[in-house]
Amino acid sequence: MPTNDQPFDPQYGGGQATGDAAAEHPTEPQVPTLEPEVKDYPRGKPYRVVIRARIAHD
Amino acid sequence: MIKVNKEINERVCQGDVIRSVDYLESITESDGTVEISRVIYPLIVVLTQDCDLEQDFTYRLDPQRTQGNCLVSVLVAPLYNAEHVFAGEHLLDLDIKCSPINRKATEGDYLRKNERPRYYYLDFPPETGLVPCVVDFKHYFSVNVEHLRLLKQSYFVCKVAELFREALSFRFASYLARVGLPTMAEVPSSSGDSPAL
Repeated sequence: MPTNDQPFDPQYGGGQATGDAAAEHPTEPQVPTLEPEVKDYPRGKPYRVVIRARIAHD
Repeated sequence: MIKVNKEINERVCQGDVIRSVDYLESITESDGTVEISRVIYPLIVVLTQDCDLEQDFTYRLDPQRTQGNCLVSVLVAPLYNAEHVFAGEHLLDLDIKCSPINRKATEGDYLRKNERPRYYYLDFPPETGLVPCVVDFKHYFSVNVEHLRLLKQSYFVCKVAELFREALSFRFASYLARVGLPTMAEVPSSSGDSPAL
């Protein structure tokens, strides 16, 4: 079960990091917790994007 | 815990879990300015029947066949982080505040056990990297078939295994087919008809 402590894998939001991220967050055995905090992926919530564009006139 | 399949199929399949799927809210034009509003859902699951999706894919690409069996769009439902749902904050970024659900009380327990008709709780296996998610059957939308197929090539996460996806579809269909009966206090006394029992 992924937790907020795990390095972020941009593909799925969990798993193992590589490169510099791995060095900063060395892999450690994940200890299951009974009452985890708000968990990770999907960490984001639905959000709105609005695009406005002027119609060009010749 | 549910089972999933991580092998990617070229076509869209029932039970596909796909990241970053957009819902087109509106396109308006005023005084020479076009405004396009989209909602980006971090994760969705495909609800459309798999046989329909398979036929669509077969017929769409074969110029020798007619396209009468092709689909206009694919029905999908957002997957919300269960913890966000319990906190009532899963739609906060859309300025929608929902009632929290006490996960330790009966209401939260019933949700996790899939005993609340409105919701479907999905506990993904660890290898997916996904935390438990919730489908709210009041929330669903459609996506263009080809648009979703192209999105899937980059954003496929996994596919909910057959038995579990059928359970999800069945629960969704049951929820949509429910009949909302009035409470006794709302039935006009002069209507003559007794409310159905």
